[in-house]
Amino acid sequence: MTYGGGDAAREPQLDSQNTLKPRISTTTNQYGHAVSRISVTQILEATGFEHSYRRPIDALADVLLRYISHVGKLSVSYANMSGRIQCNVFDVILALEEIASVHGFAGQSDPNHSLSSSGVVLDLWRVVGKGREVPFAGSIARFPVTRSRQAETSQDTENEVEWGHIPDWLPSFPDPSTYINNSVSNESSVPRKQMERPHFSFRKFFSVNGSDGFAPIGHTNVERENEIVQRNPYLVPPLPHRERQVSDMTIPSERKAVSVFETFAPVIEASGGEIVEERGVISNKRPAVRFRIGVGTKSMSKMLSLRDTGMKEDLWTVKEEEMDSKKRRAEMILKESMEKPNELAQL
Amino acid sequence: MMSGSGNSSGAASTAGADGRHDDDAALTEFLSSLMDYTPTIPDELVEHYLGRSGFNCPDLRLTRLVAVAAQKFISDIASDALQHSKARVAAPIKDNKSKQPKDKRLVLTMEDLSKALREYGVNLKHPEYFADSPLTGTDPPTREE
Repeated sequence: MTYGGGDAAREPQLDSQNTLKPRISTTTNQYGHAVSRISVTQILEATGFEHSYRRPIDALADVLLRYISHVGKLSVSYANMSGRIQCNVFDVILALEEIASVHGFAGQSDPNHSLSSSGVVLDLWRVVGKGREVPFAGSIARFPVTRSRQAETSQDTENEVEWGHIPDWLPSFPDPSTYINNSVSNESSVPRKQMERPHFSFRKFFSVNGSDGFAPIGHTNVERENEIVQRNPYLVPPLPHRERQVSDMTIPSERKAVSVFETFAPVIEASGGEIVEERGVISNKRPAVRFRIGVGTKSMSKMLSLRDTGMKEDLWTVKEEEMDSKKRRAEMILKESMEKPNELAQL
Repeated sequence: MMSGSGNSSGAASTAGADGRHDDDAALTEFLSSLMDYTPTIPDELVEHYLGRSGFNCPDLRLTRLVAVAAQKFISDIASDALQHSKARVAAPIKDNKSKQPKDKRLVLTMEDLSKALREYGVNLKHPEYFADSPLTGTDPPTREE
């Protein structure tokens, strides 16, 4: 049988008749497609065709591969529906029946028909029984062929440990000297060409803060690592309990009135008791800072009145006159804020 | 009545069981005969494409079964295309002025194949023309000249 010869091209090309060749298949399918083309040609010859164009043969080869994939997919789906992952003969028969249902087969109308004696199986038996065998021209090996992984260097084979749980097709681990800081490891094991010095120096960047956590690979040893750990406060291991004595902190209660006189008693004694308990002595030493929250003169007058009355009203302790000026200011602001919403309500 | 119907169903079930047994035996015989028959489509090709679809079965007989089914499928399409081709060759020639006699060679063309595939639910359409020039598809007055 003549065949419009020529190998399938990856890219569409113009043949001798100046017609565009169709793009046949992808790289991975080319081998399978070529084999199926040979099978299809043999089947066409057995059917009775003497000649054929290239394109119908390519189309039929594609149809054949799609048919095989379709049968496989249907069989798997039937097996999965039955709760299995491995297909059996009945899954295949059901898949073939589904494909043949478009055309029809004997016994299709009977819903309870036996799968073993299905019309599809009988048709196939008829094909086999005829005995007209046309074996495939030539023999092909199992494909795809898996390339045996060869060790790149002797170093790799030495360092490689046989892990049972890691599949072989994964890439091998990198050289341990690249990620384990070991003083014993030689720098010659990792070629200098492979290591590129970074343009940006992390050491200089972090030297301001004193933390030398980053260091170029291959130049560290155990001592340097300890140095780094000690210098960086975040890398220091935590102290055990009660190693360092820390003074207990006493929190004064809020109710207790802070007596300025008591606090400064030692100072007063040292100065010889010359502090005069006058009303405006301490207050006049530093001018009070008043926050002008209110707008207009009203608030100002209120504030001034408060200032005058504050001194008279807050005489619940004798030492109130000598209160901290900040506290007095805070009280004034509080009072003003209390009265302010009332003002607003009136407005 | 009930017992009678029960008995009859029991008899039918036993008959059915025997029938099923026969069917299974026939299927087993068929599968064993597959090992003696070498399909045109090689096992390696079928195994590869079945594996790509997730078909996982170490039994070679199932692979042969799929190979035989695929071979039958393609041969059915080929025979349908052959019928179309023969019909075209046998058709009376309308134009008696044709110089060349009708080619009696059986050549598989895209036209015959697409007709045959259409019955199997495969849509294979050949492009009518290639629009490689602006005049393609138009009604050119220059051609007749």
